[in-house]
Amino acid sequence: MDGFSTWMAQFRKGLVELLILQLLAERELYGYLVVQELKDLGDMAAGEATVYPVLRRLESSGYVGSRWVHEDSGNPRKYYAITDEGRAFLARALAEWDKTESVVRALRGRV
Amino acid sequence: MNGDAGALERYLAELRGELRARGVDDAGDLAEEIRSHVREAAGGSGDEDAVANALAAFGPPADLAATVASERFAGGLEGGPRQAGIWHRGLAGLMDALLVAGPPVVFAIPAITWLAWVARSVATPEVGLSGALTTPTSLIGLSFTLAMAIWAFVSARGNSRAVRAGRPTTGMRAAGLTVADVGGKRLVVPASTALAVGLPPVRRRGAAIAGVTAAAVIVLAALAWAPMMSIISARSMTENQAVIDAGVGIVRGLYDAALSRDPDEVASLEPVFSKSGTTFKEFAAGLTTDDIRGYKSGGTEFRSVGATESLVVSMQEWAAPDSVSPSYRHVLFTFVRPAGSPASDWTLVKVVRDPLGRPPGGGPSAEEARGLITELVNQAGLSTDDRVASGAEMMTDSFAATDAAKGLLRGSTEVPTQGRVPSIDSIELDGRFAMVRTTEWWSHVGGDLSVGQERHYVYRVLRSRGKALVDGRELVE
Repeated sequence: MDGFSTWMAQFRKGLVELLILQLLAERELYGYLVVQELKDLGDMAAGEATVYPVLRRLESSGYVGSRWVHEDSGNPRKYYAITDEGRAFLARALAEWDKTESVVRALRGRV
Repeated sequence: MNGDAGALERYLAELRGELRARGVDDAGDLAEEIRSHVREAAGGSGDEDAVANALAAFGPPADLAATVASERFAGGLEGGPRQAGIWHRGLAGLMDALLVAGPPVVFAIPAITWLAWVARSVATPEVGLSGALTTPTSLIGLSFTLAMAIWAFVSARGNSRAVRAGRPTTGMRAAGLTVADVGGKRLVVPASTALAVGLPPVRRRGAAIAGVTAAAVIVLAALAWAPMMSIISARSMTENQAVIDAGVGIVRGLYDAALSRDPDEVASLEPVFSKSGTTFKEFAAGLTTDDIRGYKSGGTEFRSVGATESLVVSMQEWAAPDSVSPSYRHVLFTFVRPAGSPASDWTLVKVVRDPLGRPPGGGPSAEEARGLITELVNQAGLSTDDRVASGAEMMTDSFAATDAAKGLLRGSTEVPTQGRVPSIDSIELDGRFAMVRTTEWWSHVGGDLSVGQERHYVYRVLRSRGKALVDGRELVE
């Protein structure tokens, strides 16, 4: 793994949490849909091997809650929903993101 | 269809096992979630390729389990692995030190040995081998110390870098440690928790090799040390033995002359005693007065202090050969000489006969011992015929009486023990009474020499439940 790949891995690590929380802030989703939504976002998307572990950690941290729903199709689904604590975390994270983005834009504008 | 379902179940089963191995307690929940995901991804068709593709997206079960396990503590949650204890980390540091510092040690020892070998031929009596070696060994020692200091600095910096990079050092692996990312921090944690934090099990093959290497370094160093010291001291030991033998030879000559009772020898040996504070005539007279029958070397103590060497020769003068046990007294001969002078160039400066202030008590003769025992038996109103019948019982009594007597002696305030070590040398059993010969030893300064004084005790032994008890004693000296 070269330096850029390492940096990307670290960069995406926090970003995936942000994206998942943002998706769940919009509506309740189950794992498969979270993966599909992230894939639809493009190259930044995270795959199954990343999403499920992060969902579990967000759940352990109390930022999301979950419930199993037994659909008519016979395939049970585990739905995730953001909690109040998760919303507060997301608000702070997005504010930080905005701040970071403005700093990066300002710096790039000086070039 | 069945084959595809089988692939999914095998994957999930393996995943559950990997998760449990990493301490993830709700492995079943995740497995069910993935089953749901794969079914949905495959469109419920169970198509072989669709299921395989869906599973491939999750990666190998071990990797997925590792990610789940590491994510558990990524937020620094409670219950995550803790940094290894300072002693454990210190052990790892020591292992690293041995691995790096070991080879120089292995090379330094032969180097010093070689220097010692060379120095043997150039060392003079005035300087000695140690003097000849002082400068080169000091230089080696200084270089080695500097190298160790530099190494310690470099090693500590290298270890910090390794930890920051998430790589355990060889010493850490050998000590069963690894580096884990816990809550965004790199911590040195016990390798046993590696699985729990999503790291692969620590490969200890390299660490085992490192451990064996470290052990080999220590063994080599230990093995090399003895021959090196032997070479260094070889010359002085040989030289020492020559001067010691010369001193003992002088003393033996004095005894041979004195015991020969030849008056002509007296005049010829008087000069030897010129600085000793006594005369050969007085020395020889003491042997005659106390009926000394023989002599024996009792040890030597050789010391080299600066430009002067001293030698104390301890001799035992034996007397009263018909006693229950042989008895002797000590005589200490002290010599001095300038260091480096010819081996036999000793000057006798002091002769102390019986430093304990007691003449060589001959102890009771066998006849006297029997009389004493009979007397004690009569005093106690017992019969001397009241003896243990069989040899086996007599032997048992003998051992029991000896053990009891030893215990009594060691615990008794009547036996002087200050600076002395009472010991049982022998026992004479006579029915229900025991004659015990003890020797009380006085240790000389330095511990190389000791002198002793015999004492004889009679113990009355009572039989009780098959064991001998000592209930009293009489000193017979």
